[in-house]
Amino acid sequence: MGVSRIASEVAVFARSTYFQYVALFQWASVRGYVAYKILLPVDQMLFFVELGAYATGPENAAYFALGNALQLTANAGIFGVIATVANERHFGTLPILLGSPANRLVTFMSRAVVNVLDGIVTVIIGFAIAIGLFGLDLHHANIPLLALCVVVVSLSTAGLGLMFGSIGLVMRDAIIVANVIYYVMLVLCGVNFPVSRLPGAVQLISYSLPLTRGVEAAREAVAGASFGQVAGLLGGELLVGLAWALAGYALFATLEGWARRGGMQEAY
Amino acid sequence: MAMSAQAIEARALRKTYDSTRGVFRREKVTRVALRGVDLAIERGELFGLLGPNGAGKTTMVKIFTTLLLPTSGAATVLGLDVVKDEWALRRRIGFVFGGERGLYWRLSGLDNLRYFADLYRVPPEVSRRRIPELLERLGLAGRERDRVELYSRGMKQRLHLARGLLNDPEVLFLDEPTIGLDPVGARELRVIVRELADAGKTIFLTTHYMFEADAICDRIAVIKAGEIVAEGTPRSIKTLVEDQGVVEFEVVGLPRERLDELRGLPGVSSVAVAEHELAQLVTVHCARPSEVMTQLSAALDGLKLEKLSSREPTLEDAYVQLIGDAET
Repeated sequence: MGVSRIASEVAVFARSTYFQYVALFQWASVRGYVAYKILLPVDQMLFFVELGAYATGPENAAYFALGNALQLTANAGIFGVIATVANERHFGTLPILLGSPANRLVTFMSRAVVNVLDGIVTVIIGFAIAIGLFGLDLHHANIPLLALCVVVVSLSTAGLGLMFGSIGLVMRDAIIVANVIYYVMLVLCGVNFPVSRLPGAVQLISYSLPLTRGVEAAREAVAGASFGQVAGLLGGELLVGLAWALAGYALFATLEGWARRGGMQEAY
Repeated sequence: MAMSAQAIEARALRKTYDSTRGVFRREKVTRVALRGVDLAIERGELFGLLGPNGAGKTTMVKIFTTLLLPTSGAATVLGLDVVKDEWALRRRIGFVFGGERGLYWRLSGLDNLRYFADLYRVPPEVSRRRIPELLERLGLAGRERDRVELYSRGMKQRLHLARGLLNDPEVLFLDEPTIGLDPVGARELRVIVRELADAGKTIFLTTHYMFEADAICDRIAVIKAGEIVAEGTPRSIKTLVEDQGVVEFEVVGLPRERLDELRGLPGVSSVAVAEHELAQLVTVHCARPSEVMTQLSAALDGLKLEKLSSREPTLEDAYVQLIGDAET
């Protein structure tokens, strides 16, 4: 494949990603973006930071603010990816997509890419809120490492989103799954309290989910840790995300065949 | 199974859907959508599949377009097996479902076509030329940068057709493309479909509008409960009822027992009743219409018959007869 052909494929990929984002997300407008990406995060952070500060003392507000800011990646990575398939079903475009000769892996990837970028932007908004409203102090933080943590967490949560987004091929109300996962992560991933407080068996679940190691690494980065000190956590976080993404792709391929046997892509 | 290089071919095509019902005692339910359909469509033909709702029309389109796997039997399009050769086939066919869904309403018509062109692997240099041509041909030029949510139903349907033509398909499947369109919009779409067939494309059209099939199709088949009950040109289908006539009249307050009396008259093959404003419009398919008209007064004594008339059978009459026959 020549360079021009690759450039053409990349251009098509980028354009498809953009169209998909604008076509499928109601927050792809200024008003929608403010509502979904600013007001909702502020609400969530206010709730958990105020609750946490009330229960454990105001000096811990930054702890809750940081955890909840990172949890916002799940908003894009999980809700975003699952909503992609759910919205295709809603618009009636899923049969057209599945009846097209489009490369499934490329289509699958383009769904994740836009949500990874979206997740990064969302976390930046979350950090701005955490710093401005809840006193998150980044003076001692290793900022490049914190930025890397945000990218890694966005990638890994999108991996989990791909897994559950595949279910939308055969399930009409896949967005319910997104809600369940979102709240499970709030409890299990060390966002509002350390994972070590959970029972041993539940900790296994925590570490099989994305976000858990990423949150730990980000807390270390805020405290000024070096890359070497958190490399294991970040590597683990990436591997967990990759495992979920691969499982998601396998599930997508399986369910596409299943939908073809049962005609379920039309079962809106 | 070796099959000839027809544009579209089906042999003993069968499709069943399994589902379960009940909460505590789950019961498996199997619904048969296609009961061993045989069909062969030549290249360049405009073929119409007629049938009532639930007859199996959409199931057949979905199988031919690789969206659905048959339970048994074989289906090929352009000589390619719809089960095994789906990737090669998808590049060479187009399909359009009726209705307003299936488009990205927040995108402009132009962006919809660009996106679908990417999905269909149309090279960018080709789509840059083809998209404006399709917009022009389908009367959407000038509105292509408007969001689809601002389009009329007819414009959306024309955009659907443009989308179906993006990859310049050799075979185009149209599943009830004029459903819900106003008469002018539906006629415009029919003209375009006929032009596409005249330009050499093979078109498989499903509809339950008889006049539509009569007006534009080269050949038609009638499907009822998953079985083809008639196949041929519109003219040959009409000959199935050429020894029949049709008597129509309006009446108010026709009791069910009198309707049964009507059905028992000599020469009457079927009676259909449709509510028409405050009256009932009765259509009687029969041999020797003039004799039936004289017997009507006796059979419906005491009721006031209005607009009593007889006419030659149409394709719709043949369809009603076929569907009625299939029910008994």
